[in-house]
Amino acid sequence: MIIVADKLSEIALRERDVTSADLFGRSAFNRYYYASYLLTRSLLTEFDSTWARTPHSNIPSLLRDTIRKRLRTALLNQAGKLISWRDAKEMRAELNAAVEDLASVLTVAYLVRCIADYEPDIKASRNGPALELCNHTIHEASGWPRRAIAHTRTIRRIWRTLAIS
Amino acid sequence: MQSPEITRLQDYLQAKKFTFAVGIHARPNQVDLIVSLPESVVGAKATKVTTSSHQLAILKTRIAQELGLNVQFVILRDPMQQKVEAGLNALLQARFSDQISAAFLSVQSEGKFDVWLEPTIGGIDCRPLLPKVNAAIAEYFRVVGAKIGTVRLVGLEGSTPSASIIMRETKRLAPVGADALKQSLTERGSIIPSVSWLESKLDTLRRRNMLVRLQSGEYVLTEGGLAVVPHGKQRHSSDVERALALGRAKW
Repeated sequence: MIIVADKLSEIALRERDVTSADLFGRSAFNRYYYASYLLTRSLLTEFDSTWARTPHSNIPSLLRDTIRKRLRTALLNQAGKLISWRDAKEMRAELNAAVEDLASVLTVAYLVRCIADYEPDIKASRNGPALELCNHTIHEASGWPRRAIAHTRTIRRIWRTLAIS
Repeated sequence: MQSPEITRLQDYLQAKKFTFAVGIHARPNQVDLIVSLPESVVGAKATKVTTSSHQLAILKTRIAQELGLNVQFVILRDPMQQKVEAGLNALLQARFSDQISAAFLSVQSEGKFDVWLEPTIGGIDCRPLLPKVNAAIAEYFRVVGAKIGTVRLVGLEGSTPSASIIMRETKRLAPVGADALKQSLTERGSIIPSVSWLESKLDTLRRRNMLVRLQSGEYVLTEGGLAVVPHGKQRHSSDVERALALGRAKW
């Protein structure tokens, strides 16, 4: 998915025709969102298969509320017994930062993807060397999956360390 | 000329003391409005200086009910963050490309940036170099005038199992000896350096009253130990795994 998005982005940036640049560009935004979404969904499915069916717009709150709460409860339960208080504090900070940034990336990416898919009147257009859709550059969008990979890896590691499943 | 809907929305947000919007523009259909907010003001909780996703959802509903307008909030990444991130990547590529493949930033509530470092796959282990990397990053942040939060390496998993994993596996197989536990943990992907390494871990847990060593040399969890192992009603719960393991042992 990321390869497709990169290719579409490359074509959009090279394209001289404004309409073609818009069409390839908004498809690239869409693919970058879906790459991030699928990475996150794969994490959610590992944790609980029922979470795979969570509506796109609810995933950030699922991460912020349900998953963070479950991990924090396990951390609190194990701190001072199975893991040191210091490690628990570090893991909690790392968890908060990863969940918050992943939720934030998905919120932004989902909104931009909805505009790319359902608002053809809002064009993806060139702004200097960048291609922008609703003030979001294609370069920024290319970072969404990268951030999703990093944060899902962090959350997965904490989940496994705490032996939740 | 500004549309009357935008003016109504601006007045409404002002009356609600919602000062985070940096731009409001109408969609071409003139029915929906897009409100832009910088990412730095969207936090986990709504405070005097930040809003939250929850607050935005409530606001959206109220605007629809009270003004009859459909608004969509668009969160903008701080342009400063993008520039600092691009510069940081260039610096790390120039100096530590064998160890670090990429870096990105996330915003903390006090306007500090957390730095996430992605180790190079198949590259040299970057952990010994971390003090040097941290010093270079700190110097770079000082030069660009940005505040640095925590620097983190992404995805470095411990090769040996955590105490929680050892406890969970002991619960599943109890009563279980160190040899059988080593074999089972290894089959599940953990790296156990030796049986004596595992025995020392089990002994530490025993001294913390998490486990009991039976006369046969096998280990079982204490009541306190059972309380700290995560459990639930899901298919992957440690209770379900334990029940299945007991069933397999019986039949």
